[in-house]
Amino acid sequence: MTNTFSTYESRLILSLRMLDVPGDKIGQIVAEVQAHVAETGEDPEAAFGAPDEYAKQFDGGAKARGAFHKASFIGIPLIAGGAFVFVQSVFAFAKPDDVPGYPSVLGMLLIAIVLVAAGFYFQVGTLDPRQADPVLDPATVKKWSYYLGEPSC
Amino acid sequence: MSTEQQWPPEWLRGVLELCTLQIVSAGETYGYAVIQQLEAAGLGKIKGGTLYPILSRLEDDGLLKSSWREGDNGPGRKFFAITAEGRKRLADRTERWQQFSQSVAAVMNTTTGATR
Repeated sequence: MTNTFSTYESRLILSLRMLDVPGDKIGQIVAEVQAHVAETGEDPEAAFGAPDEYAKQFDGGAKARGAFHKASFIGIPLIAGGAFVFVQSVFAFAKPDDVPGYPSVLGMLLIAIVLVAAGFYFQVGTLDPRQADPVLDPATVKKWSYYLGEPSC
Repeated sequence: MSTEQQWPPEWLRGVLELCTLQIVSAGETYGYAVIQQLEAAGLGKIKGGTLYPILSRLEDDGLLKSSWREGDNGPGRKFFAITAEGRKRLADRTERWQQFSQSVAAVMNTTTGATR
């Protein structure tokens, strides 16, 4: 499989992403375009039509969108937990006698920072389809870089 | 003007899936080879943008299975083969197509007769 993407392929990938087509499916669609163009010498737009119009035939639908929403069940509780601990640390700092049994304020702040950071890292990392659902080269089943002209990882 | 445009698109939409299934049933093959066979059969030059989504739908429906093979100097090819479910569907639709086309022919012959 080639390791760079043409302008047409990049536009096609973007259009497919906007339709929530899964990454492995995107890889197959792009690879088919590459193979057909290489064999026929045709202009991809002449053979397949405008990228956004061609992409519509592969609409991923609700099933694909559900994969990203599941990440929220982990990321959001982490963020919420961190926020809760942060609030408790504020109370502990302001009225230490009213919050018995808790570790030091500094310890609580550190816990809060770790929880919130983990939550955001997970939330952003998994909501970004490029990380959660990368475009895969169907021949190697490895992640394909899909930035215009950039070689694959 | 491409040959594909000589046939009404609604006719082609109605038969391409069945024809594609039939062609693949003859032996493992790939997209461009199917396009060439359809053209050789007189259906015109089907565009990649028309044929590949059909292959994808047939695969999603379990009627075809696919495998990738690396090319020697360039992109690989996605090969398709018919499944057992695909053969059942093909046999059923082929029989029904025979009946359908006979019915259409009967209507066309009757109409032609009435206008004379």
